[in-house]
Amino acid sequence: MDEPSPINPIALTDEERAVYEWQMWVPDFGETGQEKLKAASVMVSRVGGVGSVVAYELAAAGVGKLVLAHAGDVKPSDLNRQLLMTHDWIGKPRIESIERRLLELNPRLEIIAVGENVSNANAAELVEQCDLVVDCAPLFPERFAMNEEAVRQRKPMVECAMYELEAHITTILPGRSGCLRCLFPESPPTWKRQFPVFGAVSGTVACMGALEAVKVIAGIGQPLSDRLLKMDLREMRFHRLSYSRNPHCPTCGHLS
Amino acid sequence: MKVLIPTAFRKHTDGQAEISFAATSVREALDQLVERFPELEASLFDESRSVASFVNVFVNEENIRDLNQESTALGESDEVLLVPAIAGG
Repeated sequence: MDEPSPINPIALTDEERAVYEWQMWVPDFGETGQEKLKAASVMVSRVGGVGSVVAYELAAAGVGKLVLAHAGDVKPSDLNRQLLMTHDWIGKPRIESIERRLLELNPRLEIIAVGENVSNANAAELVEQCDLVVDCAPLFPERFAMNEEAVRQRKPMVECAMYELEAHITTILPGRSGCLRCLFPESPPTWKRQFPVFGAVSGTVACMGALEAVKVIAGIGQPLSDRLLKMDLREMRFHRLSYSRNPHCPTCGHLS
Repeated sequence: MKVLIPTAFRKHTDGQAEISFAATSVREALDQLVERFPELEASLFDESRSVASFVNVFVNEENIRDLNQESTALGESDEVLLVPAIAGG
């Protein structure tokens, strides 16, 4: 990466060294990378088909703190893809199932669990509590609210989206790369909250999103900034598409 | 030249994912595409028949906003991608 991660590492315990031993063998990650993950806080906006898998991978990887926002109760139709929801929790708050499942995997994890979805009213407070956002919401107003707040607070944001057997991912570094509104100035008027989805598609882009978060936090590899990875998983066709900052962007155009 | 149709638009192209024909510019390619599949118009164009702001068009992985917009020239071997915003999460 061009710039080092601004996160100050926190020393690991012997237990953490044992749990994360295999990923610390990644040469440019090592124990320092793990210490940065431990010190980091990541916000995941909606913890559904994409966000569940993002949160689970980050909990497994040893991110120290997750800020999670998701409203509503578990429904049967969540269970094909929202992997932190369980059959025994149908009719009960999703955020409780999310928190319970993550702590089963990683009891050291600190969780700020918010039983509401992102809006213009709560976005600032949620983003203030994190170092990086992973945006996985199913509605454009929530995505744009996250984008505006991430840019305002200059927090990196990994943008993951899917539809049917297609998925998109890009990483936004405010002031250095294009933002969501540079790429898509407006949302499509016909978008609906309910969309065709296999869990394996939302999970594919989610794993990539979690890895982008790990890379940005640890300062390894090349983040997918100013690039949109478009995946047509029906045909297994991948395109790495370039886009630029819009100097007239109403969200990030003023940043130097 | 070929146009790759995104999943969200395939209901307007009889399920076709890839359509090949001759065109010398992006504008000409999009006009021909809409002439052949009129239901695409509302998904692709705004009221002034420009490419809608929620759609990106790429030629060989470069955004036409960074090229010559809809006047971007096309050759026989070029690949045009239509990429509408999606938000499934």
